Amino acid sequence: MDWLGYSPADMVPFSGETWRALIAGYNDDHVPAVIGGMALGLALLRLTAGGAPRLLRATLALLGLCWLWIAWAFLHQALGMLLWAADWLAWAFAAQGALLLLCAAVPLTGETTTRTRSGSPPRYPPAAWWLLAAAVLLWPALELAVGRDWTALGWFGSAPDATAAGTLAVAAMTPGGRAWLLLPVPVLWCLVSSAMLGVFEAPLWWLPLMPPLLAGPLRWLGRRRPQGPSTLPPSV
Amino acid sequence: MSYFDPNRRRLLYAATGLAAAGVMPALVSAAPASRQAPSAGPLTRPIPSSGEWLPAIGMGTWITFNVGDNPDALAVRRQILDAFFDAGGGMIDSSPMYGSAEAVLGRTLPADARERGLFAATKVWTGDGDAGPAEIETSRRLWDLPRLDLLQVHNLLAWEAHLETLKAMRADGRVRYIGITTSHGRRHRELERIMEQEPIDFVQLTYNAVDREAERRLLPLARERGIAVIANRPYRGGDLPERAAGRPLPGWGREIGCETWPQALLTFVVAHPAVTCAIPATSRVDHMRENMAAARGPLPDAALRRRIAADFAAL
Repeated sequence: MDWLGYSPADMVPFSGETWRALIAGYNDDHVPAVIGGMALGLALLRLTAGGAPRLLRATLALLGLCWLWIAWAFLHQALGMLLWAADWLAWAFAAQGALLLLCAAVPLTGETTTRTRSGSPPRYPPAAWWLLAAAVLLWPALELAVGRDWTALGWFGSAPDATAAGTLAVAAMTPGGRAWLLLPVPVLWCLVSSAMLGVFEAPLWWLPLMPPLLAGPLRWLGRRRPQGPSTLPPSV
Repeated sequence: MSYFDPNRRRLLYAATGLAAAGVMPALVSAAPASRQAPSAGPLTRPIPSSGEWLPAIGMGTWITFNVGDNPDALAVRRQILDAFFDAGGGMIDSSPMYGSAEAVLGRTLPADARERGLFAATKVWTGDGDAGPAEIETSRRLWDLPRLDLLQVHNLLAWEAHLETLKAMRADGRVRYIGITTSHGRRHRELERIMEQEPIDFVQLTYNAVDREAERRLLPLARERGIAVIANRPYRGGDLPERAAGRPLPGWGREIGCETWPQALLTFVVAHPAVTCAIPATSRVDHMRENMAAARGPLPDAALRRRIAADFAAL
């Protein structure tokens, strides 16, 4: 097939109205998961506020469960009705979930030492924590602010956009080379989501582009950051 | 060589005559569309390979019928279909590519859709020729119909293999017509070769007041070869009505019985002598009624069609 002759609009066989209705229906069908995901997001903010690697591994594990849930419930079951490619995306999300769980299972060693020479936890740019906070708290607020019905908001932990954004933030916090492995799928989804919202002429089409643009530099800054007094955000 | 089985045409006409005489009521109820041009009502065009008359304004389902199982959206689709059939509509075109559109049709088509003139058209869309029959059967099941009227190879995808399947199905009576589609002006040269060499009943392509490349070769070829033409994207996915929004229709609109630019744009398409049917898609009942009110007046001649296109280009 001459794929180059197709535009993003040719690849999205549903309208923005249908997309929002899909999210609203999904939220309605899975209220416990939506509430649970949001609670998980708040828990992740707490876990990562201290910067302790042991808690970071727990963070990765919990995020992995979110990705597996979204792969099954949102992409395969809900979006699968509307989009023939949804199952491909579901497999990518499932792989990301498995990868997160794998990263959580393997101790942070070597470059990913659990302690710095000064004995303090490894640190990451505070902006990475704030990016996670934005994914958990600001994302739905922005959607609400531009007029989306509150029933159709995409919540962290149960909807792909905010979860991908939060995962990129956590990847920026994660020490060691493995963090780079955590980037491709969330970045891919953010690009897909932005393109889709662009087709819908949604006012926030640019929002999913922000986490990929920020996560790479934050991760790089984190690697180069000299060890010193912690500048982590205060515990929440 | 023009594909047309004169025996088939005679049989159809004979069946119509018998049915009209009350001899074969069962057959006429199974026959999905009229064989004679109605004296009143919507514009109809004959399918060249059979002589069967088809309402010139049909409907597409890309995006507009891919609404999943949302109850509110399904209710609106039922109203749209009711408005379509109430106004004398016939052809509904879909594809496995359109997400849940076929399933939505299966859930929202009125029970008496056949009696009201439904002409069910869908496509085969898989790169694996061997997977075509199973996909077609899935489509038929989703539509919830005993038989589809028209099967088309979607966007020329694996067309050699699929066309063999479709030809066999037509020979066995499992589908009445077969065809091939493209859109957005893609692969016209390849489509032209297929039209010249293959015994297809229908070709589907993009044609509207702005995208007129088909006028050069494909539309004349369709007439020459006796191939029915389905014009997709008559509104260019909604772009054309948007461009004309709020603009008054020039005086010639009254001459062709049109009140709005969308009606004039649709009339422009179906007024081309090679076009059998146009398939605008909509998710609004009022737009469906507006579409179905097009092409009710005198059709524009070639000069007026040129003027319509020029006036639209000047907007």
